[in-house]
Order: sequence, then structure tokens, then C-alpha cells
Amino acid sequence: MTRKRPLTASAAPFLILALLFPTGTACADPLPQPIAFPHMVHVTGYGFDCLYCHSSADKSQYANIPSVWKCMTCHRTIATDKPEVKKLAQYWQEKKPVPWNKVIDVPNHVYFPHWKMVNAKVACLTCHPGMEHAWVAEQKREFGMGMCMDCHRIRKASIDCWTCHY
Amino acid sequence: MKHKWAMAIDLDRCTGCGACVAACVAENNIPTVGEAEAGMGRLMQWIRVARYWDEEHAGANAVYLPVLCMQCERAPCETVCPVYATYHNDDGLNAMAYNRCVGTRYCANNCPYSVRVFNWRDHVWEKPLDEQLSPDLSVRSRGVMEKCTFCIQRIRRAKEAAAAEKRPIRDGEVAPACVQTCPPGALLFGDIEDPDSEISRKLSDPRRFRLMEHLGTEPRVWYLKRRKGAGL
Repeated sequence: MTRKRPLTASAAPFLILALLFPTGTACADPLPQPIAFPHMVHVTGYGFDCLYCHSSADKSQYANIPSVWKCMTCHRTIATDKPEVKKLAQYWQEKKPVPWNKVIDVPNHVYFPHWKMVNAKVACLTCHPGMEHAWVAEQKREFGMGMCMDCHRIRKASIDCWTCHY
Repeated sequence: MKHKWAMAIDLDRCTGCGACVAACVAENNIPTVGEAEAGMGRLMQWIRVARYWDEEHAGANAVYLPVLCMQCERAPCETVCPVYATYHNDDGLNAMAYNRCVGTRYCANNCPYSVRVFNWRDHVWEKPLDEQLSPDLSVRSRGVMEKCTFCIQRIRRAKEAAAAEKRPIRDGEVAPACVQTCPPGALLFGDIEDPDSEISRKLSDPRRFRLMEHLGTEPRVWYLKRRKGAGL
């Protein structure tokens, strides 16, 4: 009779592989947020352009989170009776920023300039699919280098390591 | 558009002040390792100012020689890397992909200029010093080799700015931190592909030489020899 291998021994190579080649940002459950902001209502419902709120995405390395002021430009008069909007008004009254939890992060060893992608006409939804229907912001597509490389090859963008890693 | 980035170091002008070293450390998130580690030869500087004594002349003048990665066109470090973490990029720069490095240190051992430095530890920047870290480039972790990049983040910035305005990069638009800071202007950086650039003109000087040229590494850093004479 063959000896049954303990589970740990059979799992060890996979564990080592998993440690050696971590696969980018893991897609976990959506993070809890201080205000239940629905992208669904704003993007799909009212047809907002991503750049209306994330206005630095075409100018900067980072796609910013809009300020409370930007939310309040509309929400001073619109839907003021909704409980979530009341929370927002509370932050506005207290002159405090909304302590959003960061949903999407690229690792430190990647230089990712949003503005390059936006100006190269890469749709936001390429990397953030389903965001237009999200009730709670969630990164549905896992960031791995393969995903970047596929796109860079198709678009004949530079695939020199130093383009993104330095 | 292709570039051939190069540096010229005028030894007549270098006073050995070390401002280049300080600027490099500040720009490139280079950790300060402390006295004990430095004593073990683990000093992490991408540029160092080597000092020699000019014994031919009375008064024993000090001769300073800033040494940084030579960005060799035939780089000895590249051929020995087992994982291709160091390679030559399209601009003819000797690139180093930190996240690919597995820390064999073969490259540093094969570098005739000893300009590659290794992260023997995970370095911490105590608060509030972490605020000074540049967001433009990564903080290297333990077990990773690093070296001068000719401030690739600045080259990238200039390229992006030029691309946004649909024009070529102007001469003098890119300067690594060491070049920008050098008080006597001993360091000069530019594109030798452009025959009209300041560096191309500077390199027509017959004083030029390269370190250990006999090795055939074809460095991209040229030195301009010191003229001997009164006051020098």
C-alpha cells in the first residue's frame, strides 16, 4: 500500500510557488466605506464622465478621489434628504475630508501614470471593469503584469522594464 | 526617438565637495546605513567621490574623481545576471529592474568600477524622514542590487513632458540630481546622439578619457583630464 502523503507535503510546492510569484493585487471583498457611494447611480444613472470626479486622471500619476467640495457642488441641493447624503453634509459642516478606504492600489515597484493611459485613450473600464454598475467601489480585475503587457504589446507601447519599474 | 545619454565630468572643476553624493541620496531614496554597516563596506551611495593624492607635484594636491555607474555600452554586469534583472535599454542605458533581482550579487562582483550597491537590510525611514521619500521611484527592499540610473525618473518626466507637447527633448532639459546640484558645474549631462548638444561639444575636448578604457566596457561617462599648472 502506498503511503499517504500528508497534506502539508503536497501543498508545499504550491505554497512556495505562491510565495515566489505573488499575483498582484488580490481581489478581496469590497472594503467598507464611510459613505455608501454608488457608482451605479452617478455613472450609469446620470451618465457622469469618470473625469468629472476623478479630474486629475488625465493630468497626474494618480486618479484623485474627489473632495467633499466637489460632491457638495451638487449635493447642496440634490437628494439632501437621503441618509448617505446627510452623512456627506455632516463632513462638509465639520470641514473634514471623507475618510475613504483605498480600494485600488498598485505595488510600490510599479510606476503607473494614469494620465498616460487616459491620454492614450485607454478606457477607464478596461482596467476597472464593472465600476459603472458598482454599488460599492470594488476592483474586479486583478492587476498582474500580464494584463499590462498584453495591452502594451497590442498598442505597441514600450515594454522596456524601465518604463514601469524603477 | 532614440537617445544616447552621456555624462562628462570636468576634473578641473571638481572640488570634491560631495554635493553630488548628497543630492543623489536625497533624490533616489537611498538609505543611510550608518557607521557600523559602512565599516563593513555596505555604504549605499550611487556616486562616490574618490580621492587621490597627486604625488608628482610638491604640496601633494588632492585629486577628486566622482565615480558613478558608467552605463557601459558593453556592460560586464549584464552578461552575468542569471535573471536578466540588469539589461540594456533602447536609450543605451544600463537598466536595473529591482523587482526582478534575486540578489546573487554577480553583477557587483563583475563591475570593474564597484558602483553597484546591495541592500543588505530592509531600511526604515523613521518619521518624519519618510516624508522626504520621492514618490517617483520605488524604495528597494532587502536582497536587491541597485545602482545609478542617470535619474531615470527625471528622464521619464522630460520624455513625458516632451511627448505631451509633441516636441523632442531639448538639450539641457534633463539633468540628474548630481548634475543639477554640482556647485562648480563639473558635471554635464546630455544626449550625444545630438551633435549640437552641449555635451557633444564638450566631448570634442582632447582632454577626454574614460575610466579603465582598456577593459573595453565603453563607458558613457567621460572625464576631462585635469590640466597641470599653477593653482591646479
